[in-house]
Amino acid sequence: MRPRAVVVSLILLLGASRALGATEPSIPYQEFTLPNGLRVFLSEDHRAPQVTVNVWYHVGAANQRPGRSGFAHLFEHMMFSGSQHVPDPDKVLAAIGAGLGGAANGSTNFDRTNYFETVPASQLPTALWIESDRMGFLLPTLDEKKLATQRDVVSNERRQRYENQPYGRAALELCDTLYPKPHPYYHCVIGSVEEIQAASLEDIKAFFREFYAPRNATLAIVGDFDPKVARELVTRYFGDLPGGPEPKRPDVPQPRLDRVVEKTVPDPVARIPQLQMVWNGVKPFAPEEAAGDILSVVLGGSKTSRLYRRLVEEKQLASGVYAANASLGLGGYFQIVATVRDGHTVAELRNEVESVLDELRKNGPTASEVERAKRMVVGGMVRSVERASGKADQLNAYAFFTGDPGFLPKDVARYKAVTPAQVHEAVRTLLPPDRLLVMDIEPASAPAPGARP
Amino acid sequence: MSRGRRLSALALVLMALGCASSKPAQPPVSAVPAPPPDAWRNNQPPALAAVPPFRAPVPGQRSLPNRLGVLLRENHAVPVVVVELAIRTGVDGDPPDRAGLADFVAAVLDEGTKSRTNQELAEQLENLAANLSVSPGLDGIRLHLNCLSDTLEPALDLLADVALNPAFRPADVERVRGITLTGLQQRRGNPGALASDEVARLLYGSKHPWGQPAGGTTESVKSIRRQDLVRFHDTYFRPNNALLSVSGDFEPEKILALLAERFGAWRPKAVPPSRLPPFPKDGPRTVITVDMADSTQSQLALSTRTIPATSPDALALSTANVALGGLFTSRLNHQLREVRGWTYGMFSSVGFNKRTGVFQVRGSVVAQHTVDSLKDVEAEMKRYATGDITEDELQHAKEGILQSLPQALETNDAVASTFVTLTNIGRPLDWYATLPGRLGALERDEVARVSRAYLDPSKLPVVVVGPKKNLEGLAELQLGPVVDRTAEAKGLAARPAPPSAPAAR
Repeated sequence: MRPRAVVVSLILLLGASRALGATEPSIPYQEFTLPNGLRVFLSEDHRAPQVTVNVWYHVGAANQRPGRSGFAHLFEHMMFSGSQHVPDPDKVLAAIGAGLGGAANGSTNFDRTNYFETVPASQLPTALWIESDRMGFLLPTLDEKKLATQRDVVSNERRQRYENQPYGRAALELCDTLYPKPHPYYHCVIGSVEEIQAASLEDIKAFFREFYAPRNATLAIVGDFDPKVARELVTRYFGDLPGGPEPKRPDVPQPRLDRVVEKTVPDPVARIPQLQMVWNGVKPFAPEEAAGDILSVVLGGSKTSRLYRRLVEEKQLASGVYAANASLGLGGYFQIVATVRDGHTVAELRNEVESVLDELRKNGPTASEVERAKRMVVGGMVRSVERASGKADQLNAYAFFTGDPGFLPKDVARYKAVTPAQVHEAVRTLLPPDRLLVMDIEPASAPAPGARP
Repeated sequence: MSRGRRLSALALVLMALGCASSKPAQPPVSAVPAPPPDAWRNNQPPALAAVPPFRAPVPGQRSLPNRLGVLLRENHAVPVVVVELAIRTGVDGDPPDRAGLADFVAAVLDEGTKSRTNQELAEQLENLAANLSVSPGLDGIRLHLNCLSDTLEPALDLLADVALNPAFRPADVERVRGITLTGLQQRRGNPGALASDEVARLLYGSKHPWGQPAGGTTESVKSIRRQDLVRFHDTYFRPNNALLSVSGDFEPEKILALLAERFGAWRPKAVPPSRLPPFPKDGPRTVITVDMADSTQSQLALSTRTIPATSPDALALSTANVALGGLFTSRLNHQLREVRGWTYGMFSSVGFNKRTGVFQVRGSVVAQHTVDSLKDVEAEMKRYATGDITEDELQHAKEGILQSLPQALETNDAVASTFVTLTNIGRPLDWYATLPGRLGALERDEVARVSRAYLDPSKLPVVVVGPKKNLEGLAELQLGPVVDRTAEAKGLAARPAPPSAPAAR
């Protein structure tokens, strides 16, 4: 095997450099804007007789007012509760085959809300009918009963996804520490049960009037369609909707950590302690973002990453570790998460993470580990255009954050251009040793006496 | 059903009956308020001309000289190739006292080969931007490679090296053991994991490898020796017990040559027939509870073994499941979520393998409505098991299944894995390509019959993982004797450690 391994490594280098050059992903599209301000992106993809429709509204947790955590997401649920001319959109979608396997859904994050459905190509008009009706005519059929049900459903979503998942409570604690009240990110996107339950019909109406209109949205259609037909349909279904108010982007200063904040988070669902170290982060497409992403891979994005090697393999203190550079519209966070390996402690983990960071601060990453991280990130972008629904979401995402729905090749170039020096700089600027949140997440209920370790 | 279609159907019926003219005379036009300008929106728009239907991919079937089967499906949409090497023995190869062995093999397999340390291997994969994962399953272990097409050759070298020459170095084995034991402990606090382990035990029995807690127990994982891993690999990792499934951007003849170079010398060897204990006989219905005092929800699971994938009833059962609990609009989710607001989602699922199938209702409900929720689930299922599926429900289920295929088979990852699944469970490789015809021919009576045969809740054991204090009234539902398994499930029972268990090796 040995001689062959040498040959292989030569091929590896050649092959990989070709990979970075030869496989440039892009999403071909055409664009038009309706007089009411709705931007529309059309991208043909005739691999399957289906079409995916994806609407982004530029509204998320960022737009919530104090006392209404979780509201943008609760609102998203109401968009499935029927509109004036489409009383039961889920039933319509089920009838055309979009009721299974995530074919139709919505999602809310800190900065935006999206709605999407993948339907048979012949049913494009119905998908547009549903989306246009809830964009224009949601309010007439809303009532207290529908809202009460969804308040409960969303409260259960919080229980299921945060309260009853190991380390879910730490995610909420992170938001509350980095984005203290009245910042709109406190309690994360999901919100607190009390504030979800406090949402009124009047809140829903005001939110709709302010944020749900063509001027605050973009529409992407990807799939097996004739662009001429699609354009006619979009114009018919969305052309007569009033544009809505001029969108106001939320402008809330990012609270900055000014010291080391230490918290112990009791977690009744976790049985193994976990360390989370969190720093203030950046906004999407900020100049430091790409280097920060590469840094997260170098630190904790793979088996060869610094933290994995040190904590999981060499010292064997951790059962898992990762790092993430979460960029958010009002300022994100950089996070290192390490889960204890049974028999060790969060204090040991923290010691070792700090030692790894100190080394990286001092000497920076090697050229080869930065190169490797870049290849992994770009490789992921090549794969990101494999799904039609993914492409639709990307067109809207790039349009939202950069103004250019066709930004993908430039995004690839952005990551390819990252240098080891920039990653070194990112360690110093993004991960200061004296301004961060350190969470020690501890199992809340110890096993009963007499239990085996 | 859409408003548009319902109106036109009504109009047709009226015309056919000659009723339209017998309706009362319309009031004078002037008395009718002018229709709002958006009245046209009331109707669901007509469909565009239909395009040719989706045809699910069917692979070409080839084989290497050592009888290793190769399934090939070309797809040049993205510059990616997926190669899945499927070993056709998984948890079903675990010896009785070695629960978790297949999982352990899978976890150590890509931690280094005879010529590459784990770090060298990881570094070479990452330099190629290739992803390699090893996943254990009940009936197999899958090595799944996703690489960019212009690094196919070096990536295949790494896949082959991992499959054929794993080192199982003692240091790597012990590191993985420690991580595995930590993971097992984590599962004991996790309501979802606890429910799944209880369901597995109920369905397959505590003597069957499939009935063990996922990944094994603390005792069994401690007792697994390096020699067990080596033996499992030597026994089951054989070309006559394996399959290569490839989807992506390649030239068939070229990739066959590349595969032959790397897998052609792999020596066949007879694989011992599996000797699995029989599945447990259906006993009286029981309700298993596991107390999670601090939980704000209860995990509910009603489950049963059904029929193997090759059973003639399988498609009807899949369809019956979708109408009951597969769609957002299906009965269970509609009642528990949209009517009651007690859950974020209540769904049912069916899965099949070569030996049997599993039907399961699963969801998390707010703790104080645990018993109410069980009552609703029971009532919905009882009604459904009378065979009262409606024509609308049937159509929605069929459409949902058909229209989900293009998305389910959109990526090379999914396609390569699907071919392996079809092979493992004994279905033909054109199963999805021919599905529209079979589904179209499926009658409501047939679906009603299998609903009665397999989905009667009075035979389905119940698992509840949640706060015990919220179980008041459970006995009054009369679902069966209630068995509290808190101590066993959470590993708190004072079971003696096996005397021969080596601490570390």
